[in-house]
Order: sequence, then structure tokens, then C-alpha cells
Amino acid sequence: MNNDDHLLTLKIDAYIKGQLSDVEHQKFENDMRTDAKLVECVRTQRAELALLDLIAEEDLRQKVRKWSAQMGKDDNNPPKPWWRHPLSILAFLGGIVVLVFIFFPKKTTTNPAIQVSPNTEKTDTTQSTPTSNNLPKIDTTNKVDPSTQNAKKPIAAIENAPFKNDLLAFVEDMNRTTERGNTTTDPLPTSSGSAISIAMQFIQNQNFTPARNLLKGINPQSVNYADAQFLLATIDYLQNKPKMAAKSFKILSEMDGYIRKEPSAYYWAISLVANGQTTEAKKILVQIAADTEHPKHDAATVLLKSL
Amino acid sequence: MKDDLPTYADETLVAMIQGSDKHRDEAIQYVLKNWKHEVVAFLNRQGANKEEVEFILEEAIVVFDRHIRNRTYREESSLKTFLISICKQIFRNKERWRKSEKSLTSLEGITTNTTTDETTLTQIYSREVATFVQKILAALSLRCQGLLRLYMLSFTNREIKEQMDMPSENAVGNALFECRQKFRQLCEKSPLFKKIIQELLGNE
Repeated sequence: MNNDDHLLTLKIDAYIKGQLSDVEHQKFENDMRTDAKLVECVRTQRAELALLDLIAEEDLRQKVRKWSAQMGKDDNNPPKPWWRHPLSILAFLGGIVVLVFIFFPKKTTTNPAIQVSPNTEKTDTTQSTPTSNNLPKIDTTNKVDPSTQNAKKPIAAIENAPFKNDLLAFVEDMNRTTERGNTTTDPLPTSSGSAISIAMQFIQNQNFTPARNLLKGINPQSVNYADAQFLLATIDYLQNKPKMAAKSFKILSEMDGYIRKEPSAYYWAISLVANGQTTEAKKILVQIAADTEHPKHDAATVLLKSL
Repeated sequence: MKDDLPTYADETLVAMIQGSDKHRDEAIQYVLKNWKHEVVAFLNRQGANKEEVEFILEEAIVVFDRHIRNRTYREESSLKTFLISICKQIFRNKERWRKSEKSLTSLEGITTNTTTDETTLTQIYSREVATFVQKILAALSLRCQGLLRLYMLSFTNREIKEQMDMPSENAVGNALFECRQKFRQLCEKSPLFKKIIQELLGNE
């Protein structure tokens, strides 16, 4: 490396950047007047610096582009107040719905047809009392419409379901360990985990429709998907739809890695029993009873003896 | 998003932009996150469309950063007002865009389409020139690329030494000179270089 070239480069840089003192600057310009080669060097170096500056600026430009993109497309519009944001509106409405379900968990019993149902008098007399004064008087002697009779079915199903306590206890146990959905690699652990948790509370309060809606919204890619399917099957069972429950529990039992940690196969069997398919249920129960490590080994053995 | 960031005074932002790469990035991100909406609203009021807003904002940030790094920001107004005034200037500087359109034509031999948007042409122009230099930079080692970039961001030899973990300031000076020589040789080999000198420097 030529040391003189190095010094000259630095001096030209300083000249271009205006970093020379007045005396040095004057001297440098005098040199340029008599040295055409120096003039050419200054010109080339000025272009070189301008090009390098463009590179440095292009680097910043790309960063700005990236950061702007990260900030989202909506950034080109001035910020809206929170109450004008669609998500805030949805969250607000969602909050109202949740509050309604919390404070009026059996709101559906305000349906006159359900209140008059002979199968639901236990719950109806206690639940409808506070609001019944505000309701139009109902003729309890009226015949019940078949469609509204279906509406009360879920509650009747719970009362009559032979293994409902077992299932509800399991749901309660799931509820206590909700965090398992949040410790995994779920891409949206918080949202789907929360949905599971809220759905379980709905199930425990026998509010099946919102629970079902929440569970159906869980993405198949989510690790909470299997739990969601389990709960949907549970709802089917509690709503006296054992055939559908059996189908769902069967799928869950056959899912890789699921049968070992969860007792879906057992619930598949009890759904089959409820559906009158005792022979098929026995085959499953025999397998569970033979597996001493299965979480439902004991329950399956007892049930098998009773069939 | 704003809640995740501290609030910086203008003096702090200036110091950050003049400081290390990391601090500069942090400061520019802060500016974008906190002031972008106001800048965009201002440009919308001026009549700029969405594409112009994107372009002007990018260019304004580059100019804003350059003024602060080169210590030509006079602190006569707040930084936010300064950024908005740069945007205003860029938006109104139609002459510069026309010049850029002409430059692009002469540089790349592209027939000018008079109906093409001027702002887009300016953007293409700077990217074309930058692409030329990037090709040359790509022929240099990563170390040289890093050194030249920091040098152009007005980092002192001492700061470069710390940032690039080099043994001494002298070593930085020597390495920089070698990289400059290589860069110059590569530029001079390209037939485009003379045209670019002409374009960048005019007939001075």
C-alpha cells in the first residue's frame, strides 16, 4: 500500500466533506489549479463517495420499508379512537355476551315452553323466580310445543345421562389444568387456550350453544384442537346424542398420541352403551381393562362387569 | 405498540442517530412509530396519494437521518417539525423529480413515458444506481462492506474499531483504505461508471 496515496485519499475526503481548515482548504485549491491530475482525483473520489452514500442510504431505505411494513397497512391512516376499531367493537360485544352468560346462565329457561316442562321443574322453579314477575303470565296447562320440547332436551339429558358425572368431573379436571394448552408450541396458545377454558366453564354451567360455537372456532392446526374435539364430543353426549359422541370419541381415540394420555376410548365405550351398542362397547372396555396403565382401567373393569 | 417504547427527547434522538448502528435503528423506529401518523396526515392534507406518501416518507427519513448525522440539523425547530418540513419540501420538489426522470433516461437508455408517474421514476433511478454499487460491493468481502458502510455513516475510526472488533484505529484506517482502493478499481472497470460520475456530479 502506498502511504502517500492513503494520505491523499484522506485529504481529498476531508476537502470534499469541508473538514479542512481555511488555510488548508485554500492551499488545496491552489494545488488543484496547477495539478490537473489532482482535479481528476477529486472528481472521481467525489463520485465514489456519492455512490457509497447512496448505498448507506439505500440500507436505511430498506430498513424503513421493512419497519413500515411491520407496523401494518393501517399505518397510512391516522389512528382511530379505540371505539371505532373493529376489534374493540367485537371485544366489547364479546364482553357483553360473556357477562350475559355469567349473570344469566340459564337465560333459556325464560322460554315459557321450557318453564312449563314437567321434566325441568327442579331447575325452573329456582331459576325463573327472580324474573318471573316481569314476564307475562304463562298458562301452565298449555300443551308443550314439540319444538320447544327439544329445546329442553339438553338439561333432561344431563339429568338422565348415566355417566354425566364422570364426564363433567373430567371436564372440571381439564379446566383446572388449562395451562397445558398454553405451554405448547401452539401458534395461538393464548386465544385457543382461553377459548377452551371459557368453553369448559360454559359446559359446567350447561350453556352448550356458546361452548360449541367457541370450540368450533378453534383451528385444526392448534394443539388445543384435540381438546376442543373432546369437549364437542362431551357436549354431544350430554345433549343426548350418543351416536355423534361415540363417533367423535372414536376419532379421538385413534388419534396418534392422544389415546395414551386421555381416556377418550373409555368415553367412546360409554357413548356406545348409551346408544345401545353394548357388544361393541364391551370390546373396547376389554382392551382398556387389560391395560393396567390406562387412566380409566378401573372404571372400565367395573363397567364391564355391570354390562 | 407505543406503550412498549420509552419517550425520547429530541436531544436524545439526535445523539442516538449520531451514535451506534443499533441506537440509530432504534431512534428511526421510534420516529416512525410515533410520528408516522402525523406525517401521513399532513401529506394527505397536502394532496399526496398513498404511493406518494410511502415514497416521500422513505426519502424524508433518509434526508432527516443524513442531516442529523452530518450535523447540519440546526435545532431551530423540533425534530418532528423538521421531518414534516422535509416531507413538504420533497412533495413540492417537482423539479427534482423531473430531473430524475431525465437522468434515468440517459443512464439506462429507457424511453421516457411521459404519462409515467414522476415519483416512481425517481425511486427507480436511485435503485438503479444503488444496484450498480451493490453489484460492486458484492464483489468485496463482507468485512469491506461493513467498513465502508460505517465510514459512510460518519463513524469515526475509533467507533468502527469498537463496532467491528478490530485491534486498533490504525488498523481500521488501513483496512478502509484497502477497501476504498478495491471499490474504486471495480467501479473504474465498469463502463457505467463514467456515466454515473457525469450523472452524480454534472459538469462541475
